[in-house]
Parts: sequence; structure tokens; C-alpha cells
Amino acid sequence: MASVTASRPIQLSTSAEPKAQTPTQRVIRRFRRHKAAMVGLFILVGMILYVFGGAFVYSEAYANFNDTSIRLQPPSAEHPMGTDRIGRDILARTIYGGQISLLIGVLAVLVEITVGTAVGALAGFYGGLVDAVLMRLTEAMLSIPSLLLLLVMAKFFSSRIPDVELLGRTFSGSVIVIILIIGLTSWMTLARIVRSNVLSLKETEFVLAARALGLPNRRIIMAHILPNTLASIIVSLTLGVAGAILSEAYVSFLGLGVQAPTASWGNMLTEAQEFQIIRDAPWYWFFPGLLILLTVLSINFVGDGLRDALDPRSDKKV
Amino acid sequence: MSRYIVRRLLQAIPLFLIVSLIIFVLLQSAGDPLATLGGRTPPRAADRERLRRQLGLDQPILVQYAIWLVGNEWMFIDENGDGVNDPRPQNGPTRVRYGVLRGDFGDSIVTRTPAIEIIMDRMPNTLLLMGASELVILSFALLIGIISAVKQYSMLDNILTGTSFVLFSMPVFLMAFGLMYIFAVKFREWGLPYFPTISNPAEANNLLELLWYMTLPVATLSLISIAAYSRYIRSNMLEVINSDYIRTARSKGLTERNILYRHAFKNAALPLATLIGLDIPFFLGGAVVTERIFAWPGMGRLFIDHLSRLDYSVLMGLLMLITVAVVVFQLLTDLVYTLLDPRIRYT
Repeated sequence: MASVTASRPIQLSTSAEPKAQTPTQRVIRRFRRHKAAMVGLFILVGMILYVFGGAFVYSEAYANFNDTSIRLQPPSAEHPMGTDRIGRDILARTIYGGQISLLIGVLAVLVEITVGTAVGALAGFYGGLVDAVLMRLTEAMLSIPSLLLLLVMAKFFSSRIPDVELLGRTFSGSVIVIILIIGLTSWMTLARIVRSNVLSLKETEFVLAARALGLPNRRIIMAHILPNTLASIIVSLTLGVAGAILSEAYVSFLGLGVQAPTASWGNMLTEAQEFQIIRDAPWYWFFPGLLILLTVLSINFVGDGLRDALDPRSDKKV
Repeated sequence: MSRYIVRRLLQAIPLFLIVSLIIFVLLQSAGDPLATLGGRTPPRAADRERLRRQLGLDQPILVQYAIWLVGNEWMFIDENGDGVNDPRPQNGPTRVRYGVLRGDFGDSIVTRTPAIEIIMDRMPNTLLLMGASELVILSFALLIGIISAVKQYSMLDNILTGTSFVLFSMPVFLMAFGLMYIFAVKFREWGLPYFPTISNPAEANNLLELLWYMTLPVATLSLISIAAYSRYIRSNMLEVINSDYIRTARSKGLTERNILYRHAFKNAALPLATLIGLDIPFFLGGAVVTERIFAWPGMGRLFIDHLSRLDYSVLMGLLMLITVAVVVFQLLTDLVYTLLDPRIRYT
């Protein structure tokens, strides 16, 4: 604001401002000025093109095709990222593994958002006993290290869910398990954020008005309160995807996640953890690791940009 | 104040019950702990059945939870099926169990030794690894955080901020494999002194060797976390630097150094106390991935090894110790905070 008045010192009335912007336009404008966020978005779009576009170049059968006569070969023209220990093409596997990793990231966050928002909204809106019970549960879940809880849950659900056929591909049941358990172990922080938002929102006039109109509680929560908590939900959602991709990688790395032959960036690294492979075949672990790093980094950048863009106070700085 | 402490401790009781019940039910219904018993020479079905009764695994899950919690001397136990309550010896699978509430965590199914002994055996290794990492993290994070706050938006700040974003997003194994590849594999090829990739603190003969063993795992753990801490310190420091009382200090003509360390830093470091206090209890869980990669015999590896055998006594003991530590340290953090910041009072 200061810079506008400084460059046009004579025009003091507000009508001289360039154009009235809707809040959404302001958010988009602020986001586009955030350099790191734009770089992040660029890498992220590239990554999505890589894993989904790559599927048109290499077939899934090729990604799972093994030929032990060419095992552990360094990157070459034929296999740009080299081959793994049973002679599969690592490039093709990072494409299909990436699809699984990104899919898990997004779907796990959907589970997280559903549970977190429901718990937070119910606790904040109804208060009393509901609040006490739900918040004790939240606290309990927060006092266990999340990776250990994730592993216990992975053990609990393992081999309880059968393989699924979807879009002509077979997904190992372990993919569904990992989506569920990441969602079920990561909703606590979001629930607390939503709860505190709901607590302050339910005292506002527009909620009082909605009550006066005789709207049912369900409608007040869904149509009047939750849309106002969207900003914090969106930021958590974005950062949650990065967290979920890392969690998948760790659980798969420890052997309790996505099971072969379905590839994921995490379980590709599991196979690479022998010292001989770390020493003699660095391409084996470097490429899947790098792809995880780039994806998580770009999502963190985008999340950071969104946080700044959605924060109404940050308008002063722009 | 003492009423506040008592209230907080009382509030923790339902927390312990919820946590232990959730974990117990998850673990006990995850599979059969006796499935892998005996390895390649599995016991006869009859023996397996007898062992199941002796260990109380034939009981309903809530009864098993009650045994774990308060012990089993009140129970009717009939393992040979003759309808008579069997006398229980002091040792062996049918020994009297006193329950967690009386300090008995039960025996490991794998080794038949008390679970608490197995846990305490690994505890020092994990505390050593995590403590050393925390020290490294804090010293570097303070340095980097303060520098990048004081020189906000300078070239140095941008480089540090960019690097910390990259390190923060780094998966642990990529960091660990990368460090191993450079400092163990390449250093050896180049004829430089190289670091070991398998780290067992018990094999170290002196302190120097111990530090040598610890270098790579500690570096892996620290490099990733320095970023999160230093970003936090930077934003706290920026907030304080732009506050009114710092302007006052500056207008009084104090030296920049004095302002920074005696006035700004003390307030900026306050929230850090909370962060550290909340992080310490989670040390007990160890670092599962890092310990696995470097074969460090700590709690994280203990957890993953015993999880595969569903050895619930050890797993429950480990998780409950962490939960107790979380509650205690949260309380301690809040109390220490009142000492550091007299404006805050609890009643």
C-alpha cells in the first residue's frame, strides 16, 4: 500500500486504486509473487508429467520385466538410470513407483482431512463431553512417536486387505493399507487447528443468525463454519502430502509398506540398502531418493507460498 | 502451583489408559506371537496350545489387557486342563505376573527375559545417539538462525534458507546413503581416513573411537533437523529484533552485540525451551530408520525387530515409557517456562 501512495502522491482517494480485487484474486496475486512457491509449482508439475506422462513411454510390464543377465548395470543409453539387482529398468520403475507414491500422498491426506476436520469440528462445535473425549484421544495419539504408531498400525492391517483391480491395473492391498494408516496417524494437528477455529467461529454473529433461522447443526457446521476454516485446512493439506510421501517411503523402507511387485519410491530403496549396493551401485538409491527429495521440496515450497498468500496480514508486506 | 502439578498428573491417568489400550488391542490382534516360535523346528501343536495357555494368550483380549495392567495372581489358571487351579512357580512362563502398575512389564516372548531388562539394555545407546545429535543440532541451529535473522534477505541468509529447505525435505535414507557413499566409500578409495558404516558403541575401546563410530549416524540425524530448528530460531529472532524494546535499547546507544545477545536472544530463545522439552521424550523412541541403516543397537531397532515377532511385552513397555516421558516432560517444560518467563503463571 505504501508503495502505491508513494508513486502517486496526488491521488489519495481509494477509487484511484488499480482495480478492486476479490479475495481469491488477491491470494493468487500474492502466491504468484512468491518466487520459491512458483519454482516449487514448476517442479511439481514436471514431476506429475514425469510419472503420468512416462507411463505412455514405458509399459508397466516393462517396469516389472527382469533379466538377471543385465543386473546392476550403471546408467547407459538403453537404461538411463541403470538397472536394479534383478535387471529391471530403474527409470521405468521410478515412473510407476512415483505414481504409487504420489497417489498415496494425495489419498492419505484426503483420509487425514476427513478425520481431522470431523474430529476438530465436532469437538469444537459441541464442546462438553464430546470435546473432552475427542481431545483426550487426540492427545493420546500425539504422545506416541508417529513412525512407531504407523509401524504398529501397518503390522495390524498387513495382509487384511486383498489386492484391488482398478483401471486395468492391479494394486497390491498394501497400497490401500498404507493410505489408511498414514491418514489415521496424521490427523491430530489438523483436528486441533480446526477445533480452535470452530471455537472462535461459533461465537460469531453469522452463526447466531444461522441458528436463529433454525438451521440444523449439521448444516451450520458444513455450510457456515467449515468454509471459513478452509485457509488453514488448505495449508495443512499441502504440507500433509509431503509428510505422507515421506511416511510411505519410511514404512516401505522398513519392509512394512508397499509390497512387491508394486513399486514405490520407498520400497525401491529397501532393495538398495545392502552395503554392496550402496557402494557399487549408487544409481540404484540415488534416483528414487532424488525424486522423493524433489517432490517433497517442491510441495514444501508451494505450502510455504500458500501459507503466506492465504494469510490476510501478509498483504502489508506486498 | 502444587495443585496445578497434581491436577496435571491426574489428567495424565486417562491418557495412559487410552494409549495403552489402543496399542495393546492393535498389537494383540495383529497376529499370533507364537507363529514364528521355534523357527525351522516348530513345536508340536499340543505344545503350542499348552504354551498359549501358559502365556495367557488364549484369554479374551480385554482380560489379557487386565493381566498386563494389574497382574494375574487373582486368576484361575488351569493349563493342564484337569479343572484344578494350578500353583504358579516364581519363574518360567507361568510365573506370577504383577502388572505394569506394579512395575512388572512382563517377559519377552522371544528371549523369556523381563521386557524391562531388554529395553534398559538398549536405552543408553539410543540416548547417546539422540543426545549427541540434539547437541549438534542446537549449536548449529542457533548459529545459523541468529546469523540469518541478523542478516535478513542478505546473500548469506538466502543461501542458508535455501539449503535448509533442501535438507528439511531430504529423506533420511538418501542422506544416510549419500554420507556413507562419500565418507565411507569414496574416502576409502581416495586413501583418506574413512568412517565406519556399521556402528556398534560396544566395540569402541575409547572415547575417540566411539565418536568416530557415531559421526555418520549423528550427521544424518542432525543435518535434517538443523533446518527445522534454525528456521524456527530465525523467525523468533526476527520478531524480537523488530520489537519496541529493541528499538529503545538501540536508541540508548547500546552496542549492537549487547543488544543482540543480552536483550534480543534471551527472549527469542524462550520458545526454544518448549521445543526442546517436547522433543526430548521422543528420543526414547530412537531413530528407527537411521538405527536400521547404521546397525546402531538402539531402541528404534529394538522396536522394529520385536514388532516383527509381535513381542508385545517389549513393545508395550517401550511405548509406555515414551508416553510417561512425554507427560512428564510436558509438565516440566511448562514449569521451567514459568521460571524463564515470570509473566506466565499457572494456577
